[in-house]
Amino acid sequence: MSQSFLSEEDAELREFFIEDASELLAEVRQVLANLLRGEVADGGMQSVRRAFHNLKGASMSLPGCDSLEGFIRLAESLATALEQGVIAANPEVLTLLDEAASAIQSMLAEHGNEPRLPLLPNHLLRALMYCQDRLVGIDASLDSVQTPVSLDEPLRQFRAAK
Amino acid sequence: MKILVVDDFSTMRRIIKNLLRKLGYEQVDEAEDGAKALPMLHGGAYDFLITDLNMPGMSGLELLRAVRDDASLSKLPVLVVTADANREQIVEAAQAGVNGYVVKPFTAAVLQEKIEQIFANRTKPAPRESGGL
Repeated sequence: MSQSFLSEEDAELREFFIEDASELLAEVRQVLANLLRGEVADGGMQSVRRAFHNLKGASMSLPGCDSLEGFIRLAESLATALEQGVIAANPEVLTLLDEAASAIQSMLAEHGNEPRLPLLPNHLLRALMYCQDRLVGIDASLDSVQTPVSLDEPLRQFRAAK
Repeated sequence: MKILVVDDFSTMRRIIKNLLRKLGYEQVDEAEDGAKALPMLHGGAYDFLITDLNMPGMSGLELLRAVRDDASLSKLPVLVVTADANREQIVEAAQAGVNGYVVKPFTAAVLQEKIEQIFANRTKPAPRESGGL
């Protein structure tokens, strides 16, 4: 839905969302930085997944945030696969999630008050979609103790090629 | 009508409160998870509970079960809010005695419809299964 301005109430909600989201994304990036340093804490990936889930829920309920919703949906899906151990928490994947969180932070800081939020960086969207495509082929329910699939090298090659 | 809104994300609580205000419900309190909501419910004389399902600490489903297991709260009408139409989650909530659910995003009109449905079902004779869904 295209619109040229936000109502007073929607603008107020958007301000509130930007503040909430920036706090949440800072926490997400801290958890991911810890994981990238090899510091594994209980519930770390769960908190990342929850954060993306909450951001998705709010962005789908706020006008003008549909580009953000689609992007976050992909990030949440990747975080869910990491939390469930469907894919391995390798640096390339964790870095992608961190870059996604960082891109959302920057976009909200620079364009958060615009009636319609702009698209997020295409290279990140493509990388998240690549992971999503790979996840579709993995059926974790077949064997709950299967070894997590590594997307590290394929994702690195995909991103290098793009 | 006094309503308690439970969601761990404050933006979402604000969104639901705004929708309720549009519908004329002014007595709306909020809690960030089930553990904080329960004591409020005990002391607050609430008429209606709206809760998210996915929350850290005490989830919406755990809160619902705690409400249904508590003699003083067991009849409280409960509406759950979810971002995904996850069938398993909704079935679990139905089995735990939820009165209705709504999937994000939703408008004030949809919320009003859900509230009316829940109160209409409560005035009918007791259903054989958990009603409202």
